[in-house]
Amino acid sequence: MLTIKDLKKSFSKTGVELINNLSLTVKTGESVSIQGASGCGKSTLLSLIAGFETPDGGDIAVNGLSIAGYSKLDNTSKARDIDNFRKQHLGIVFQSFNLFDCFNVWDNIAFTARLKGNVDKDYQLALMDELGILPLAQKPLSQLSGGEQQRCAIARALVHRPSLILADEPTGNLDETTSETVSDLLFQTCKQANTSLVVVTHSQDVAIKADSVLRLHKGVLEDAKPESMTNAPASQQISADELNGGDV
Amino acid sequence: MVAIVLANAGLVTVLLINEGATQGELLQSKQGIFTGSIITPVESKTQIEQDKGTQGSVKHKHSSHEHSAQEQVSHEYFKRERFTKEDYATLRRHGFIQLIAISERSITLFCSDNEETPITLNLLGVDTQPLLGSAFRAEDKFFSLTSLSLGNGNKGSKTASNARVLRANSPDTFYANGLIHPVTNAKLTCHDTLNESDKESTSSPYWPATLNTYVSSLVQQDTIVSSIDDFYRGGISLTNNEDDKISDPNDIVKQQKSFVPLTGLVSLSPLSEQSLGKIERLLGFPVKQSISDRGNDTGSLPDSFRLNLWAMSALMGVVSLFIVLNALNLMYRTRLPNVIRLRQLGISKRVLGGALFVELLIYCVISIPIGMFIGFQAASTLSPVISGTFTSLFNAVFINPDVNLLFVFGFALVTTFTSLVVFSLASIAKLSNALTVHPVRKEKAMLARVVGFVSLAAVVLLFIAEAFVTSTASALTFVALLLLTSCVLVLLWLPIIAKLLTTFVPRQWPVFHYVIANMHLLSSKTRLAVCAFFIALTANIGMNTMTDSFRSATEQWLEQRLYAPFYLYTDVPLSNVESLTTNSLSPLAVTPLLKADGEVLSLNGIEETEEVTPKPTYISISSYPVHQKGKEGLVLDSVINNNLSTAWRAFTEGKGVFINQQLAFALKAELGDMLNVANIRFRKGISGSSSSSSSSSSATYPTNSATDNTAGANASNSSSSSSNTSIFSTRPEWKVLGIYPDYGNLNGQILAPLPLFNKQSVAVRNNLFSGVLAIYPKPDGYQGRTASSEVTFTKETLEQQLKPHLGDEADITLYSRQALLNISMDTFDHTFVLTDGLNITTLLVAGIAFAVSLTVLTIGSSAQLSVLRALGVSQFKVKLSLFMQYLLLCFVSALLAIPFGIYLAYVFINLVNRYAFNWVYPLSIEVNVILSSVGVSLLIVSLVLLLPLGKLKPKIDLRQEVQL
Repeated sequence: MLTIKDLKKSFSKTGVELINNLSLTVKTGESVSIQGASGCGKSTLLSLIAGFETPDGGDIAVNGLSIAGYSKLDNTSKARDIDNFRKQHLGIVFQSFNLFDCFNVWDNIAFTARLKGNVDKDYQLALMDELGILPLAQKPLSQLSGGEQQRCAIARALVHRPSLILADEPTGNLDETTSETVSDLLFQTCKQANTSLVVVTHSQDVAIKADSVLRLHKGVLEDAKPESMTNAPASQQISADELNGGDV
Repeated sequence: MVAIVLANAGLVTVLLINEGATQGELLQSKQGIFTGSIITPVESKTQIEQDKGTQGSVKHKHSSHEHSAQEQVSHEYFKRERFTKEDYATLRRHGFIQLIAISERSITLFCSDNEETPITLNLLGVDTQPLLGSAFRAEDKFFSLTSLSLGNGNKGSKTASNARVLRANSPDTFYANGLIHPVTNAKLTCHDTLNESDKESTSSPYWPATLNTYVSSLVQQDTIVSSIDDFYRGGISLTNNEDDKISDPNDIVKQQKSFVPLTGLVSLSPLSEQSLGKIERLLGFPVKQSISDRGNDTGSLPDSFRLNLWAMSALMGVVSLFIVLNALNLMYRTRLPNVIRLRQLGISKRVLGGALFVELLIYCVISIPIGMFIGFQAASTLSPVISGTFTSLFNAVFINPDVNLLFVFGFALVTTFTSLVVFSLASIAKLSNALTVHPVRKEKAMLARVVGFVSLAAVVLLFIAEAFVTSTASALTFVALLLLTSCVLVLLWLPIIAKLLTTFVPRQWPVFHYVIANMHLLSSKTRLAVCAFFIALTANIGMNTMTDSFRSATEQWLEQRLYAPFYLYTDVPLSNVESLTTNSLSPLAVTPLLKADGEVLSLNGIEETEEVTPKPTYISISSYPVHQKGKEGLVLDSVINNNLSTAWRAFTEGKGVFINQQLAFALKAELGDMLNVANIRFRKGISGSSSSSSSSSSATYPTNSATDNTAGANASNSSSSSSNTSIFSTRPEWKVLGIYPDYGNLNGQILAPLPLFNKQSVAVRNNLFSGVLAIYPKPDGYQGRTASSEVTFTKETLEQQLKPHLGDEADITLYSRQALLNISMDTFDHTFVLTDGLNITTLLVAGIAFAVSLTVLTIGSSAQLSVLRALGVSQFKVKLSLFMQYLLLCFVSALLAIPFGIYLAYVFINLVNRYAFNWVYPLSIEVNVILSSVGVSLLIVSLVLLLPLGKLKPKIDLRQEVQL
């Protein structure tokens, strides 16, 4: 379960507040999609949850484990504990897949489970079967299409049974048909694994598959029904100029 | 760019060191102003003449009046040991204007801190007036001979970069200019004081001068040349002989006016017999002319060492080539994404190729001068160390090389540009594919088999090529072929080995598994850097194994060959020494080493069928004792009928001889062959042989007036036809009974039984005596004796016993067996210190270049590292994984370098040494030597990797793209 309370984050250089007293709760097995204009801070929010960046204020807790609390530790302990936290509790799906080209499909997927020391071959087989990549197990990445690679990335994110999966534009590099298939698989497998999922996406088709659809606007999350999103006035869009920067 | 700079720096450093060694050697063999001849009274002993006698051969032309006049003038010996000023004036008045007066004596130079031993040099005063307007004025750019007489010295200050100021330890000094040979200048470290205050203990007369010396290759070594006017200033005594010293200054002035001693007259070109006769008639006493003849002098730098330097330069050149290629390849890789975008925008590959070439060219042009500068600095920093090493190599001298900057720049430019052109050709081909979608590469099941087949074929081809090696040049070509073939094989095998390793790594260690798997990918991206590193390491292992084998062989050989507990080196005639055993050394025996020179005209009596007269092979004939100790000390590579006892019996009976490897290889002689040995004569520098110039012998040698002329003449008078009868009591049969190793000797040698050498003539034996004696327990009682008998005669007690019998004045040096062994091995080690240094320099340059290219690759793989961090791998583990990756790559390269390194050592020993120096020795593979080479190389790479890895901080970015 992910709990975010009064989270604050601003650009250190310009002082522009990206996240402003943001709160969010994602229950176990629940999925949330976050949308918003480019540069509104969606990826920054994911980076804060993953511990890549340190919040200016507030708290983030995964299964009761406070990430913000790590910042109070000394650098070595903090780094070690955050690394450990990611290894144990997080699964990440990147927009550009970010698989290891030195491994074949099987080893790429197994990597996170091996890191955690929690290898379950049967589970991995089942997962790969469900994602339709079992026949590709021994293939090198150079022989895989984009969709197949993203399915590998999803399997890698899930194979070590994390509490939370963070997906940043998981279908951003895929065509419409593949995107549909991959997103379906992502939501389904997370649901079956009872893993919480936070998806950042521009795609409405992907977003509506989540249990909740939220919109990041002026540093806070708003409930965003698909209807309201399509009819949203242009004035509510956060411009890049306003944020003095691009997507972060 | 750093890699290109490094490659050029390394190249220039090695080039300069090599050039310094070569120029040092060339300078040693230069004669300077004494390339003509020196005219001296017959009775004189000039230092220059003696120097020439030791450094090279000098032809003596005695006038026809010499012998007849000798007795007549013997009563005038002291007066006519030197020419006088009047003699000089007389000769010049009578048209001998080509003669230049010289005068000489010894001076001693000390260090001001007295830490170094003093060095005694020959001070040579030259009448510079006749040289004004001569060619000498233009020959030396910085300071000419003629300038010596132009005014006083410039107050003892350094006015030119080459100047060395030698100050007298006295307030009443005058200033003078002087010239010094660069080699001598290099020998002088802190010796800057003419410290002769303690006149009682020094043989040199006091000369209160402060000398501004300038380096010039025109002058002799171990000599300071000054103007003859300065030479006689300051109240010096007239001769070097203490007895002739005149204590009253008034007498000195008086005598200087009336009787100025000149030690000789230099003639720029040799004088004819008629001219010499005319001089004798004018002066009234006999003179002799010493003509320089150093055309065949090969210098003192050992050929093996010179070959080493040459090989190091070639190696550095190849390594630099690969480093630059690799650097260019990395530059190209980093620009490739932009190149593709530009291609996508429609820019032609010709334009892109041109632009890329110009960019890389600019980098090269900038890098070369920077690399050269660093190289010059490195060479100049290293030069004192190298100079010390060279001085320890007998007479070899390293000087700061006088190099043509354009030549060095050109050399670096050619190496860099060769790489650039080779690379450009490849990259333009790559550019044409920049837009092409690469077809999916399928795993080739046959790949390993193909690689295996190619490897086997390459090895077989190498073995075939080895059979065609018949000369030094082809041996060196084979070395290059071996290195390149091994490089190709490494490139083929490295990915396969890396992949194989991946399958063995336990998956429970995911980060380590990643390291190995990624290394497999890395091996294809860093192949050129790997090549440079591999070649450097292979050469390192090869040379170290070769040196170690040489060392082991030499040590083993010396240990066996030095059969006696003591060795005496002396200038005392053999007749005096041989009486020792009957006098003081009754429990001990002495065995002298007798030596003669000779020529082998043919093998098995078969003359060459060619019309051209066959070139004789010059040999030295050494005596060898026939007692049991000698038998035990004999080291043989091969022996006739494989039976040492039979061969030894035949040897002791004079039915055959042993020859060294060098002679066997040179003549292609085999066991049982008969040698046609002729023209046996005394060795170079031994008196009496001068008259043999009229015989069939092509070589003549200088006279050493310290030995018995009459006896020598008697002995050599019969040298042409029956010289054997005088040198040998019984002429041995020249049948080859065995072949023995003779490391370090470049010439052919024959061991003949000692009892067969002349026993009757004391004079002949004295002339045959090499000055070396083995002292050991008497052979008869040796078997029953214990080591305690040797203990009784310690070096000190033996020296005490020897001195009274040989005379306190005798120059004797007694070495214990161990001391001689240590000296030999120390010399050996000194010889190869520089090779080791150059070897490590090459390895260091290759290692740094390797690390630089890996650092560039690290930047390229930062996205992957970020993913590792994102998945929870700690910063330390990421760095460690990178470090391990690179180190493993080096380690695998090193593993592959070991077999090739050993093969290279085998080639060095059995092919290069065989054809270059005519000797081979057993290959000794020492695990610790190989491990130390591998260890040093890995250490170098580790150290150079630590810096960039320490600074590495992979930033985690969700949007970062990993390039596949």
